[in-house]
Amino acid sequence: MEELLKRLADCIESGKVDRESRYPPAMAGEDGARELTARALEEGVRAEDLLNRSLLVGMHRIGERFGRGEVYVPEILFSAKAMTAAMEFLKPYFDSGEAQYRGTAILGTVAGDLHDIGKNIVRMVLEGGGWRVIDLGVDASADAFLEALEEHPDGIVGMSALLTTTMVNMADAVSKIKERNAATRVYVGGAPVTEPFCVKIGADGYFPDPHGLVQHLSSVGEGPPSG
Amino acid sequence: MAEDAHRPDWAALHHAVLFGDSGDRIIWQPRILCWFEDRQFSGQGLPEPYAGLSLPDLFRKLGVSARLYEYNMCFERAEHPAVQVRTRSLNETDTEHTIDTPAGQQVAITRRTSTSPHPITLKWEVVTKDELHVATWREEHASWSWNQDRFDQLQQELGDLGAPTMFMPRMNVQSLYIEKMGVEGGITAIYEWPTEVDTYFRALEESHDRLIDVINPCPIRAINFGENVHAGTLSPDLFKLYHLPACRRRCERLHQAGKFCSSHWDGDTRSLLAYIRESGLDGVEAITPEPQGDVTLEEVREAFGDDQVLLDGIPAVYFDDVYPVDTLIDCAQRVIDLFAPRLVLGISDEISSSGDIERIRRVGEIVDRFNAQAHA
Repeated sequence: MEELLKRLADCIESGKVDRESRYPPAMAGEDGARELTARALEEGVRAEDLLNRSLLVGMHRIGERFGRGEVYVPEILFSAKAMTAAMEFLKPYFDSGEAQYRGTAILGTVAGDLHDIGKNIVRMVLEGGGWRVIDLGVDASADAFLEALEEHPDGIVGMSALLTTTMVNMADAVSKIKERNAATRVYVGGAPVTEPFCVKIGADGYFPDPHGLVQHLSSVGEGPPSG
Repeated sequence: MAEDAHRPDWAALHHAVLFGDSGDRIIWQPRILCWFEDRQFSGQGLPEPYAGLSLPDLFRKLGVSARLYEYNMCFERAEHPAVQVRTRSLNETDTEHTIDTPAGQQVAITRRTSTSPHPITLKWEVVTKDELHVATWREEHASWSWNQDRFDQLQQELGDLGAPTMFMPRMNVQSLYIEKMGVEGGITAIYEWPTEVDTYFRALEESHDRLIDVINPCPIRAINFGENVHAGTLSPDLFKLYHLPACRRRCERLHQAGKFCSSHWDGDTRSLLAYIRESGLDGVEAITPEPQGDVTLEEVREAFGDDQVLLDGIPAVYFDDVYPVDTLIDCAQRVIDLFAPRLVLGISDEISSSGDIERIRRVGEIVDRFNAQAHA
């Protein structure tokens, strides 16, 4: 079993989705996350163990490398795809309560901004970290965040902006969220966003990369295990 | 306007800076297009004393030069005559765009929103291999032409506000990411459909070769590659494999006609700095420094050596009241100290909607003092 979990973690880290996928070239023709997850469940590995001892380990490793600037969006995108392929098998276990989400994250790119790759990577990394993600997509208004919080009152909020011209809309959204419930944690990111801007608009944290956010969430009591 | 009476010929100074003939003088070209368009779109208009001004008149009123990408309108792209484009409204906000060609069909869906002048793409033009094949066919059959009347008209309207400038369409990977498939679709295609993607890239480069055939004899000498390079997505591996060779080849052809070649890099760029001197480029635009991007001005200066021209250099956030004016002034002075006279000073990348337009005058005063000393 240990060998299988190790191979699966390697597939997540390397971005090997399934046997058919050409990426990464060095693993062409080998089983990927899809096949190995199915096999592990067939062999009786518990969903929680599969998540914590294999999938999250792989995502944590690639996240660390991303944070250190050793890999880029293409690599992390394929890791996230491999993670998604594996999570399809685990979803029934989360739905039944056999496995637990670490929390709910409500993500969106702020009003007026149509860039989504940064937000999508945060989504993938958080999902890979065992979070349920409510993705509001791009051009998400303050009201859209508030509506999602009505449904998920304990959720954390992550918002991004890529343009200097749209980051000002973060201020409005943060203000309305805090007005509703000052305890709701709001995190901001995106190219023009800076720590002073985060402080100015009253957000709870600014992270230049998704791994920083996951590490922070881990430091406040939630997040993936080290591996 | 009165403000124009004693100013220099900005078009001449702009050219002189680009081609290394400015003495020690530099030029200040703040990037305010998005700030202007945002205000027009939201209906809030411009603050006093700029209310009602057109964009060129706003530049004149501010007493600054402009980077005139309006000249892009002089280049016209024509599709094969058999290509038919149809649009239909799906509902109040969504529009379906269908492109029929002899090689097949592409369908894109966009959504209009109340918060941005630019629609959201709900479905990219290329999602399947068949649609990528159509994109390839369209590039293979695209042609380009020069519109002299439009050029003359723009000369009339814009005068010597800046040198006539154009930006070329994006190359290989960036075209796939930003125009055809989105970043996630593009990355997947590059690794999972390498043969089809290579064929598209070849067709695109040949199409751009035909555009260069039109650019080279034209009077526009400042050519930008509007690439929006960001190392996060255009990773060093992809940059070296696809972007760098195509960039070098383009520059070689444009240099044969004496053009100045720059490229727009507006994300994280630290891991790409090492390639600037082998890119063939004469300058880089934006190259967003800290605290917005991941490079310091000193790192950019070292990567540039003595030949590259910096276009821009001041982080846009310094025009926002989050930062004291002194931070902006110090930064502007540092950019000048490091890069002058190979410097078209500007804002990396566009001033924020909440940016203080009056700060543009403060930077202008520094540039005027610098140029007066250089002239003395």
